Amino acid sequence: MDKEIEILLVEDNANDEELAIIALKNNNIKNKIQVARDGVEALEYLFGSVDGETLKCVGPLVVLLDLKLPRINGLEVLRRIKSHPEAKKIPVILLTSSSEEKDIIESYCLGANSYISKPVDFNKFTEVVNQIGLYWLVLNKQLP
Amino acid sequence: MKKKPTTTLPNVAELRSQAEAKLSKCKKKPKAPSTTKFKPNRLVHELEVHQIELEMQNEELMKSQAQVQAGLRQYTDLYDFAPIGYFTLMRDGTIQQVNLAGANLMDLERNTLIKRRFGVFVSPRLRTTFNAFLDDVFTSKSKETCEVTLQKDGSAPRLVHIEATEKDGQHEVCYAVVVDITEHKQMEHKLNEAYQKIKTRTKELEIINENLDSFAYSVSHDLRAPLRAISGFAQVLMDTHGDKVNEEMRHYLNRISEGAKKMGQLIDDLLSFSRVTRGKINYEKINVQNIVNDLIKAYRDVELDRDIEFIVNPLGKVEADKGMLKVIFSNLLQNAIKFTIDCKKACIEIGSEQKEDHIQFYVKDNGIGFDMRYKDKLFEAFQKLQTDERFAGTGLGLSTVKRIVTKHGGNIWAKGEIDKGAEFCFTLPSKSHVEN
Repeated sequence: MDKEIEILLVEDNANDEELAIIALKNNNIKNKIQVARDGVEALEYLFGSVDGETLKCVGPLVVLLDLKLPRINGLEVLRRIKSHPEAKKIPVILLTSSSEEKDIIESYCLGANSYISKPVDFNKFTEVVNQIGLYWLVLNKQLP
Repeated sequence: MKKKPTTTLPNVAELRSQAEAKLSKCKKKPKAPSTTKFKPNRLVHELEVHQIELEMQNEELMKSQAQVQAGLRQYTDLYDFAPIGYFTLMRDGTIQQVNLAGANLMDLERNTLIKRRFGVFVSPRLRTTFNAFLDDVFTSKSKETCEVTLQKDGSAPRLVHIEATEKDGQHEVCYAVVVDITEHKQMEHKLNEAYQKIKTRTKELEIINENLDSFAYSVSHDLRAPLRAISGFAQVLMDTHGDKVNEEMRHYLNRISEGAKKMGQLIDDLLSFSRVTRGKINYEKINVQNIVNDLIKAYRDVELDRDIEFIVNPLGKVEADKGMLKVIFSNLLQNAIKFTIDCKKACIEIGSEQKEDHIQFYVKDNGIGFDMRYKDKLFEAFQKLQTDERFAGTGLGLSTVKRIVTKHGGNIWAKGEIDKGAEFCFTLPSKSHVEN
């Protein structure tokens, strides 16, 4: 039996966090959601500490990552995940309000699996989350 | 060219025979014949010949002297009235000779300069420089140069450029050329100052631009976050408490959401508008057909419930900024699509015309058109000629397009008639910016 995929939501804005969780629920996504409020918390969850070398969490995981984070920003978290031999297998989806080309390019260069802009319209956002959920949690075959 | 007359006298034998010939030609009967054996007569003959010889020599000498005088005058003039000062200086800087121009430069009479040391006229703090220069002149084999200030009581200091070369390698005398560069230096100084000012200002503007860029980026990003909250929670309210929400509440909540959405759009447009005007144009050769076709395909994927006929005529290639060109066509096409919404059969035509030094593009539609009286207001920021909510936009699209077109050196205008459609034309210069 496949272990349930966990979702790590890295988001500093309380409103955006709440809306994301509602959107996930609206789409019947019942997977466990772990929230990290900034880059530091995200790295601590993944590696045990900010400079941790070993991947701590065991189960399959999908990361929803915002770019603009206090303390350690999204790009740095992305870089850390994608340069770790084990962690780099984890799909990282950038869910951010930046549609700056340079951010998009940099993210893909660092190995982001997907880059999605957060629309202001909540209905659209729910649709986006639905598509993410459908693809990354159901359709896409995770690395066994 | 006049043959240069010989200054060498004919040799003795020639001279004698010429003199004899002259004498025999003479009207006067010679006092004594040449062949006489009588001694005194012979002597007289010799004397007569000598006299003519001397006269001839004298004539030659006079001619030579005249030539020399003429030559001397010519070279003296060249020397004295040269446009720069010539100085002949001795080892210790004593002025042996100077031309008139040089004397004028020093603002003194020529005779007061002779025998005085040049160094005396140099400004005290530069005397060592001048002396070192003089040493170099007499020790090196090549021409030496220096710049010093001449100072004379009662006059403003003059900056001069001196070039000197030793004469003959004898270490006694040198020839120096002195040019007054005071004005020239002042001009150079002014230019340099102006250049520095421009450099500083450019640097300042670059920084301001960078700051504006990151400011616009941060602002737009930070402004959007609360909008997501407004729109999001209004929607969540409607969704989660649908049973408690009546028509009126729903209506107001929708207005809240719409307001937030509108503001989001405005932020995007403002960002795009400001970025366009500040950005530098990255010229590249663009196949316009591809851009337009991509845009139409994107619209078709979205506007599934509308049947719009797109006629895309050959559009050719143009040199422009790709991103900016996309913005132009995107805006014009979006407008055409928007304003043909009431048409039974919407038809949008895009084409181009190659003119002498530019290409003219047009986007035509058969939509609601506009009143030509307000054709100039079309391109003003935030100006809308429509109050109908269905055609609501941010009012920035056309002014953004105009800015891009103007930036590229082109023109834009529009023709239209109420309910008969509109045609938007813009030109882009054909000149080449891209190196092959």
